[in-house]
Amino acid sequence: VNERPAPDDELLYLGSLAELVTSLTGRFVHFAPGELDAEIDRTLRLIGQFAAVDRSYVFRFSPDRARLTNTHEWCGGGVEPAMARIQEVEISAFAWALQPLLAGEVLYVEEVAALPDEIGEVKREFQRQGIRSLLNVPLMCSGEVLGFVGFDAVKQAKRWGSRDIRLLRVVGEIIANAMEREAAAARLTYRVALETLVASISSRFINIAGAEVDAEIARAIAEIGAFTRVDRSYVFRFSHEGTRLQNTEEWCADGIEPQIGVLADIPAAPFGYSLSVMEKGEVFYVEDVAALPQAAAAERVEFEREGIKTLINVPIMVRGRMTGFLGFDAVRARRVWSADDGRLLKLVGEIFANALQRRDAEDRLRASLKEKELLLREIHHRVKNNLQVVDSLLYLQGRAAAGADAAPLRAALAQSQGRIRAMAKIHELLYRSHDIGRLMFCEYLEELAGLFRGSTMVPFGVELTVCGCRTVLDLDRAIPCGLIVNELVTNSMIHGYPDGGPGRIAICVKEGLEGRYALTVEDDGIGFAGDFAGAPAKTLGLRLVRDLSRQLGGEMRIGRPAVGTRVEVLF
Amino acid sequence: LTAPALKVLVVEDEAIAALALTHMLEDLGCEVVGVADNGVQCLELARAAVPDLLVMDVRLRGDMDGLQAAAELRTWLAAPIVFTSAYAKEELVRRGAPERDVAFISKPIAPQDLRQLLEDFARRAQRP
Repeated sequence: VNERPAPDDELLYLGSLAELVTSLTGRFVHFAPGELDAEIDRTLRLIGQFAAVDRSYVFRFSPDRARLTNTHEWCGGGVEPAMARIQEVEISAFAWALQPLLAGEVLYVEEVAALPDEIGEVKREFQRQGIRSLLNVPLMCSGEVLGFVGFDAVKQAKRWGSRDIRLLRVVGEIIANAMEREAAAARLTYRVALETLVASISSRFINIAGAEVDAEIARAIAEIGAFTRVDRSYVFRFSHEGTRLQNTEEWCADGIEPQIGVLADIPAAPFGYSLSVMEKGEVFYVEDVAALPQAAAAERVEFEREGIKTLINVPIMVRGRMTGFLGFDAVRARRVWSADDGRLLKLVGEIFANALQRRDAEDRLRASLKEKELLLREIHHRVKNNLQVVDSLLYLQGRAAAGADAAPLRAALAQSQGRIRAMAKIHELLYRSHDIGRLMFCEYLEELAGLFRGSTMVPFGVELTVCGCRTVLDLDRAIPCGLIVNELVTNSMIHGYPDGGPGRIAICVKEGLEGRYALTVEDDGIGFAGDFAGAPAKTLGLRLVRDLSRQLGGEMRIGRPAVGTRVEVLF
Repeated sequence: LTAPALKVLVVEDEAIAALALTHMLEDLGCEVVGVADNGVQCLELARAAVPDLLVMDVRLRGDMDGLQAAAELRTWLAAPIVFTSAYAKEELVRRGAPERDVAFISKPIAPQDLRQLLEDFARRAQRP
């Protein structure tokens, strides 16, 4: 029985209380992360012994104040622990007892047995725990009730006094403060870790290849989903001019039903409420889906079908236009997102948007290049066709020149046809090639040789060969080279074998050092007559070869082999 | 007694190329029974003249190209077809050219190549 103390006793009591509180405060100022629980346990023991009670304990409310948990307990000798009884229990059963505590006031029960039966379950629970008397004081921080700290008297009823209340209030304040500090530290740690995660995602999106964007988005939402412990994360994208939505990526926590199959292609209209928020570039956050306004009735039906309790959606804005959104669902329990969380998620949306925007630009560039290439092919085709018309005209002109005295004219026209065909072949190969604008020169030489072989010009028994490297030439060099080869081979065929074959005309191209080339045409015919090599420019053919060699920035060299002729063009 | 001249239908939308080809064929002893410059006209002329051979450009102006016209012709006319094209045979077959009784000759057409082809067809036609 607690009796009113004498003044001396009061002084003594205050002295030892001050000593206790000083020691507790010191320890709470310096506690290390993760040691809070042990520190609370120790405190409960010290104050329980100090106040000579049977039990001392701490209860905490869940963040939404819907449930109650006995988190810490100390019991004196011979007193049965009760902590396991109250774990995540709905508060409604204890409404009577919690009412004063939630209002920041003290709950003081001197005699449990004297409580009216009407208060229901609370009294029975007190009795089940063997409580005779109890005193509870709220744990308050910044005006918010986190839980309460309390004493039980079990062995015999106890009348509580101002000393006990004062003690619990002081200790409650120390504990609440420490809890708040730990929660703040946890929030900070979480925030830093989430920022680190977003930074690592961001770094992966730098210079990402267009083909990898979708896979990287899927990976990012899975990582954020797992880190933030939501139940589902996903990306939706607009299609059909914004009239439909496609669920393109989804991640689900274990045991959560995927929705991507159902939501792969849905009309956008029912989501007008949420989309109108996000179209302004804002975050759409619904902490309690059940509390959505009437304007969002259609959304609410869909969210509830998916079992969503809390939802946060963030727009993906490309050039000021929303092209889709990413989102995170809480299904098993409601979840609170802070404004900071919202800002970070918005940043993720921007990272995605940036990558998608870059991919779009790449795609457009590729399409435009493709278009340009098609156009170029078409132009080569047209040029080749026009050259063929010129070829036909020369053929018709030659055919019209009748009579024996027209033979030189016909021969000249035929030579001109050869030159035109040599050029037409280049345009033909270019529009057929994979890499427009570059010509496999040997392939061209083979085709050119084919043209000669199909003509009447090759003397009987003379063989035409092509050798050389896999030289690639651009159009600027291919045309003069083609004409040079045409002239030299024509020359060899016309002048080299007056009595026919056997013989061999060889065309060869070799790539030398520093991007230089050597083009050689040689035959084993009768060779140049007299001092032909000294005045090579007297025939049109050789003059063309000389001038075209200069155009290539090279020079023509006429060799004097023992047999036949050999002309080399170095460029 | 000489063999009757081979009746050839020329299908070519480039007038000058068509004229050159016509002369070339005539020089080789053929009778050019018509010159069509599109697929539809080709079908009409073929029905009227029933040629022994067609020399046909693959690319034609209008809705029906040479390959489509050939496929249509094949349903009622067995005459061999010589396609003139810059593309290789494989490419044309891939794009739907018939595989039987066809030949491919690259443009620009060399008279020797054409002569060779006509001789091949003549030899094949003579076989019992």
